[in-house]
Amino acid sequence: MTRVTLKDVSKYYGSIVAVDHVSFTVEKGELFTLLGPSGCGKTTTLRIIAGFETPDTGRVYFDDDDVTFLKPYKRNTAMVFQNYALWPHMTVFDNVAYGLRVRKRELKLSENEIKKRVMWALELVKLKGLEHRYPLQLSGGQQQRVALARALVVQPRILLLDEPLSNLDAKLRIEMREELKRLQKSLGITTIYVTHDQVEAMSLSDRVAIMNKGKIIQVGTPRDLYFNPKNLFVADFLGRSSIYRGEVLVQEGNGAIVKLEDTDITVRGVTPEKTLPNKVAVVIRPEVMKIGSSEDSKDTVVKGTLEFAMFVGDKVEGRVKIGNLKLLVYLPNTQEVRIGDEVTLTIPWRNTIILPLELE
Amino acid sequence: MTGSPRAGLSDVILASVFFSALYMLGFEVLTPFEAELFAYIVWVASFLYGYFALLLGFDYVRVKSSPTLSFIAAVLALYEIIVIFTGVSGVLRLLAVAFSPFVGLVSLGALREWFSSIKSQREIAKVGFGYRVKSAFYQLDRTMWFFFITGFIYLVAFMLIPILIVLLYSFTPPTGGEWWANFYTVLRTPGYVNLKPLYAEPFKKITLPSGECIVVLRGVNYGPVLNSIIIAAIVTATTTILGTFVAFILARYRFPGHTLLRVLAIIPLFNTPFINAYVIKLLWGEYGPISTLLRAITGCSLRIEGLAGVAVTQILSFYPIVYLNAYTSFINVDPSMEEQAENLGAKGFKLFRSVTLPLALPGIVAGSILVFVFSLEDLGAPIVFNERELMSYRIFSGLTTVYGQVSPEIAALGIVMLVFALIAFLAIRNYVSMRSYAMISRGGRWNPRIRRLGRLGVVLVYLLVFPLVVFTALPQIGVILMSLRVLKPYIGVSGLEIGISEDPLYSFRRILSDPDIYKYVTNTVIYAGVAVVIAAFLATCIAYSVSRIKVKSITSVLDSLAVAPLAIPGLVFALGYYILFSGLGRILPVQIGARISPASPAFEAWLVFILAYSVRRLPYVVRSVFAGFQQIHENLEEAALNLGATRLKMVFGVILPLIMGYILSGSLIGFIYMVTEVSTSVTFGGIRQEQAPLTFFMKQYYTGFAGLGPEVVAAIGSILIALQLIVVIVIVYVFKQRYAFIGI
Repeated sequence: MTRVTLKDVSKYYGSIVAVDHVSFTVEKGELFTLLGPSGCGKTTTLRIIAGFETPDTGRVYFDDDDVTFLKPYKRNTAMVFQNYALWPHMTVFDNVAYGLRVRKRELKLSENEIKKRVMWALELVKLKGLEHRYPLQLSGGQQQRVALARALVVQPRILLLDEPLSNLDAKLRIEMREELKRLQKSLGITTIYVTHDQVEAMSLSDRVAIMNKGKIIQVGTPRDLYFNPKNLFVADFLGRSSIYRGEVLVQEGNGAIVKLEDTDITVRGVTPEKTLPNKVAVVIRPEVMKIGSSEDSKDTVVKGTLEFAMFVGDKVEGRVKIGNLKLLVYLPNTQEVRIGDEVTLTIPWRNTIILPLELE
Repeated sequence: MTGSPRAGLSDVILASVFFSALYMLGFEVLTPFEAELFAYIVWVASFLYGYFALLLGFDYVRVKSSPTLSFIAAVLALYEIIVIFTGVSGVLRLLAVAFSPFVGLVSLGALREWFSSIKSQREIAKVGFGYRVKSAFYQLDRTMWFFFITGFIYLVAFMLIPILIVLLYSFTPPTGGEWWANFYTVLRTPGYVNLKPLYAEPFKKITLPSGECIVVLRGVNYGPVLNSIIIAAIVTATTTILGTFVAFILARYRFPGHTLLRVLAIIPLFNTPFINAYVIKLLWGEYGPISTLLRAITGCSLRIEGLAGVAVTQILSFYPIVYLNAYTSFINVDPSMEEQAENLGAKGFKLFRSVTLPLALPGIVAGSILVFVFSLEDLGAPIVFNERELMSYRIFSGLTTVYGQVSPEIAALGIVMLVFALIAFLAIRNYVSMRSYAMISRGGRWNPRIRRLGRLGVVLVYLLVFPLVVFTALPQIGVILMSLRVLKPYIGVSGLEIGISEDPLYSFRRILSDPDIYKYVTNTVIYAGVAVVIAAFLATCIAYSVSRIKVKSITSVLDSLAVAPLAIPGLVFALGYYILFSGLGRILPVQIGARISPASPAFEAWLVFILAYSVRRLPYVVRSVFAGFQQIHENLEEAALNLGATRLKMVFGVILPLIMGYILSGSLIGFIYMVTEVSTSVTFGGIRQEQAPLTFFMKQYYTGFAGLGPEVVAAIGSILIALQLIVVIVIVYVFKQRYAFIGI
């Protein structure tokens, strides 16, 4: 097991800054995710770790070895590409065996040994019996598993996954997600995962780094990031939320009372900032709101009319209008609602986040 | 957007009118000497107006992003350069002055943009020097380094150095002359540029005593430099229009006989040096079918000679290059783009002009520019029509008449030809690469727009397109008929004779039995065989380095070097090798020197043939291999490197198996073009006849000599046609690739 450390890594393409002074450490056996919108530099960062690109500043370490300028074939990482990159002229078996065969002498492997290991890897990804097919004969999900087997069979120091699930259809993706998590935990390989899908990131990762415009915005456990976003970008990027401008009336410790702009409503919330500026943003997630009033006197209770409702299957998404304020709420799907209904809502203060207005 | 007034196209046109008027006014009111001086001042001023327009806020990016405007800019710039070099005056220079505000605008705008991009890159580059060097070397592992260096050294040694030597040599002045004296001779004396030709009529009507009348089409002689350029321009324009027209009909419409027409349309592509020009001369003579037709209509027959003959021959043989490119480009235009335009109400010619043509244009002009270069360097047609007033013929005779010595004047002429070809090529290449959006060359991914032709359309196709295509295929058909001794190679009592021969295969048997011909054939096969292996190896090295090394400054140099042979006339190569090997022959010890110097009887000409073939035809192989690399996602390589394969192992295990088809098809095309190579084959073949290749034989014997008449050469031509047909079929049906020259 290997620890990966990036120190002050940047990458420029002409006048474009792809990666901007990024530093983080991935602990041994950890599944670490780089999450961000497309073009944020996450794939470039991964390619720097794999050695396909060299950084323009900074260093990359595997444990204590400086690998910044080490050739990709000497790093013993294994990558699963977004398009799987299976060689069309080789069978499944040959694809998976490739990494062992090219290092046959180095690893002192016999052809028999190779066969045993390939079968082990194919069994791991539940593909036994398909080893003589060619990649083009396989479905997308099967190709994905071949790519995974090809990476795992060499027993890499680090597993690198570049949006491996994004080409699969929705159902298969959920299935593979669970399988990936199970495999990673049972093999205990240090894994770096790149995705733009926050559900994937949340469900798989031990820790997530959120990237934007080449910079790392916040690193933390999924729960931590979701409930304690450091700034407005993270709060906005993760999950859905209603965001309002407001003015701070009182700040005491990690709590504050804010008057929402253009309304008479004041809400109480929590903040990661020691001292908030006067103008702030209030982030309220739709799923934390409760229908009806609350026991806790610190919670805000508001009354409004249901302006809009949309049945989306597992819930009803609605918008409640309270004066000038429009709140996004999730209603249970068993409840029959009609537009124009009077609704009483509780905004729980522990889940109301108050942040400075700046995005970063 | 701010409402501030911006200089627009109308302002530029206004400036053109203004400067032209000023130019003309000068000649009205000033003395001739002053007027001449004033003319140049006006010219410079009108060019500089471009910068003024930019300062006024003319939107240069608009010109750059408009396919039509940028194309016009490239062509006008070319015109301007030709006028400057050749020093023509009068209306032609007036036109140049009129164009120069626009040309100035575009060229200065491009320059300004280039500077600002460098500046912005400097600002961003906070990258330490150490990191840069390390990154560059990081990509150049031992394998990559070897690939890169091999390609680079070969091209520098056998292309760049010979040309630089020609350049150097061209500045050797005649005794007592200035250092630029040769260029003055070539560009300013009536022997080369003659603005006042003796006979200004392009054709002449002769009435024979018998009352018969013949129109002789000759063309006007403006001296070899201008003649070559004029012919190249005419040939390029005509082939472009003709090729685009036929390609559009075939790409967009279906009608009975469509497949037949498609097959006929590529026949002229089949290159049969000398003999096809000879057949054209017969067919277009006063006893040919064209004259017969014309006599019936107008009472006069037609004969083409000299420059006109060269132009006609070149048009007929080069038009398929444009046709193939245009056809591929039309097929590759995303049908949804046309559908969208139709959806919005465009149709017919409007649709073609506003959507289809602009998207296909880059591919089409890529073919046109090749025609331009091919026309400049063509030696076959001038030799057959015995037209000495062309750059190519002058260089050829300069190389072959005085053994052991090439005059610096001829070297200067070679450089002039090179400069014209190179500038035209670079301008168009720049234009094409800027518009690569329309050049997705993966045909067949979508169903191209195909329409059924209406009844009137079908009639028009049968009356117009069919005869046209059959007509362009006539020379090749004539070659085949002549080889079968159906078409007689001479004019009989009653004109051109056609008849079934008792022994149609005589000429073919002759080829097989004659030891002399056998020698030429084996020579060619050996030279082209060795050269194509070298070229395939180099092409793989070069294409791989260019597509995978991510240090732009390095790859763009290699890439340009690798396509440059397309733009370098073969005669310039011949000159370069001649001067280089003569020089080496003097420097090296006698035993080696005697075998290397072209002047010596022991000269090893095969060396030149292999070098010239491998370098000159390299671009065809490189383009094909490069297309292969572009089809392979880089991830396929990275996956192998990532799993521990060194680059060498990865190249052999993963890359080569995947691109083998591209290497083979590129090699096949290269081989064909090597076998039919004329310029160096004919010049060096004449120096050492027993080592000469087949094309030299064709040149020597196409007119008939010692029983080896044109019929035997025609038989060789037929074999070449068959060979080329097989190659096309293999490339299209076995390797499933397109046979076009889209990527230049």
